[in-house]
This record gives sequence, structure tokens and C-alpha cells, in this order.
Amino acid sequence: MPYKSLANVTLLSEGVEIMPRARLILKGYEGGNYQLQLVAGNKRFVEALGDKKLSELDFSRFTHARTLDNIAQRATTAWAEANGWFYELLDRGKPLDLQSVSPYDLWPTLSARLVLEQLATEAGFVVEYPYNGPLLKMLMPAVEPARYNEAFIKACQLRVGLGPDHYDDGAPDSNRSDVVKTIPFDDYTRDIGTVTPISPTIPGIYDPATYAFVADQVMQVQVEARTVVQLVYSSIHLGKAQARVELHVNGKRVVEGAASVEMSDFEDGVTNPFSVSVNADRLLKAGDRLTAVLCLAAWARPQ
Amino acid sequence: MNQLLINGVAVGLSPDTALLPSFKASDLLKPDTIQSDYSPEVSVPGTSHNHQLLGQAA
Repeated sequence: MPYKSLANVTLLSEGVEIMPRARLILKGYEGGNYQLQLVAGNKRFVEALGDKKLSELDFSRFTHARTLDNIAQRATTAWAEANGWFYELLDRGKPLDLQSVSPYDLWPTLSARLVLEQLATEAGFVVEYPYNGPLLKMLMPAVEPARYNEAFIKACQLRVGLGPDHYDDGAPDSNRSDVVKTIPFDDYTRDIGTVTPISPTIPGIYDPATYAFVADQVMQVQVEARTVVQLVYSSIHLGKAQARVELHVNGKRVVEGAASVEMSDFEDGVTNPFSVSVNADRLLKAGDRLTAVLCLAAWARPQ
Repeated sequence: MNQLLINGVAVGLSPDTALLPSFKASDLLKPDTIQSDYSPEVSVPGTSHNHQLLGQAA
């Protein structure tokens, strides 16, 4: 039983406490006797903190989704006084139009007091300081908005490709409406094998049958949808064709990207393949469905 | 005459046990050398009462 210890030990001499709140170390048991030693006194705050960085302090009790409602609720003086941090609008050098500030331009600001108390708590200390000193006025604004850590992003990454045999056989070649269809991302494998296919750690959030990504919780997603289009025409009277990729959330378009192809790219009624893509950084609620939609349109050149 | 209390309960010490701690004062100008108080190592008989008290050591 060597080197076990007990806390909250008091040594008295003639009835007088001479070592209160000491720690008793049991060094061993030999010959029917325990070997004991008492230690007491200070320990170093810095050593108790260890190698912890500010970014590793546990503020998980403040975890929330960065939604408009949550930002508004946490941007008040009352919230700051009650919690020690709040969303704050600061001039960070970027031109600000106060009439049209996005709530997402408000980043969290922590009070120095909150940081100090969290440091002390995690090191097993209690901090006491004058309640009218400069510390109470010191603030620590965020230098960048919160992001997911790399490991989390990697674990959640989804990469899907197009499987074979996806074509739209539009029989009528004149007076045809624009083609609008969900891009059939249905393949987790990749033809060019330089990148290992990555699928999400949570199964079922991507449905390769409906080509939809469904958020299982509130999340900020970065999306890139890209596809290659090749148009085949029975006649080459067209002047220009355009392909557009849109990202839809719950069926509503949120962002689009376009690419077009000119007549000169046609050869034997077939265009050169051309790529069209769109990028988005978007907050999704739990249950939101994200799809990528391809729209094809063409204009005839005046004869 | 010493008494050793663990959570307020006295450990059974031998009559001849004397615990004379060394007290250290920290020099506030040298925060990198903070001192702790300590006692010399002592022996305590392994009675059933002491087994019960010290057996809770974590």
C-alpha cells in the first residue's frame, strides 16, 4: 500500500492545530506499523495549470448553435453581466455599415474575470481579487469566429461522386424546357484513386438514393458541388448553352454557380465536357435536406 | 502530545510518538521556489481502528 494519501488531515499539538488541511502520505506498512508523513502548505498555481492553453479551457457550459436567435440573446449587457461573455460588435478593420450589420459579424468577447476564474477552477484554486479593480473592465475579444477542430471536420467529411450512366435523354430537340434535376451523387468510390473515399461517421445522413444530405444536428457545413456536363445535340443550330449548379436547402435555392459553353465548342453535335461548380458555407438545422441541382438551358443564335 | 485527525477522527498514535513538523515560509519575491510544510516520517501501530481509518486511503 505504498504512497497512498489522504486529504483533510489535521495535526494538533497540545490541542492546538499546527497543520490544518494537511495531506497524509502512507508510505508503507512494515512490522505491524504504518509509515506516515504529513505535508501541507502551498502548491504552485502555474504547476497546477500544467501545459493547458487558453483554448483548452472548458467553457462547454456555454455551448450553443451560432444561430441568429442565439446570437441576439447573447449580445445583451444583461447576458454579459450574468455569464461573463457576450457577442460583441467590434471594429476589426473591416468596413462596417451599421445599418446593415450581419449578426454573424458579432463574435464572442470574454471577460478577463471569466477566464481567470476558469483557470483557477481547473487548477483547483479559488481566486479572490478586489471587486473594483481594473480586472473587471478587461475584455478578451475573439480574434476569429469559432470553428470546428480539424479532427471533427475530418470525421464528418463526406465525399461522394457520380456513378456511371447518368444521362438525361431529352428526346425532343426543339422548344425544350430547361432541364432541372438533382445531381445524382450516388457513388462513394472514386475513379482516380489518389484520395481515399471518405464517408461520414454517422451513417444515414447521406442518402444515395435521393441524393440528399440530411443534417442530423445543427451544423455549419462547407459544401462544394461540382459536376462535368457534356451536351449532345442532334443539330447544331444552338448558339449557347449554360449549365448552372444550385444548392438547395429543403427544396429552396440558397446559392448557385454557372458555366456556359459556346457554339464554337461544338463538334459533331457534342460539346466539350465542361465543369460547373458552386461553393457554400451554410448553417443547417437538424433535419435540413441539402441537395445539389443541375439546371441546363440553351439559347439559339439568331439565324 | 500530538493528535492526528483524519476527517475529524483521531488516529491511534503510540504514546511515544512525537510529530515535529518543519514549517517553511515562502519568499514572495521568489514565486518559483514556493515551500511546503512537512513532518518527519512516523510509525503508527496497525490497530483495527487505524486499519479502518487508513484503509480508506485513495
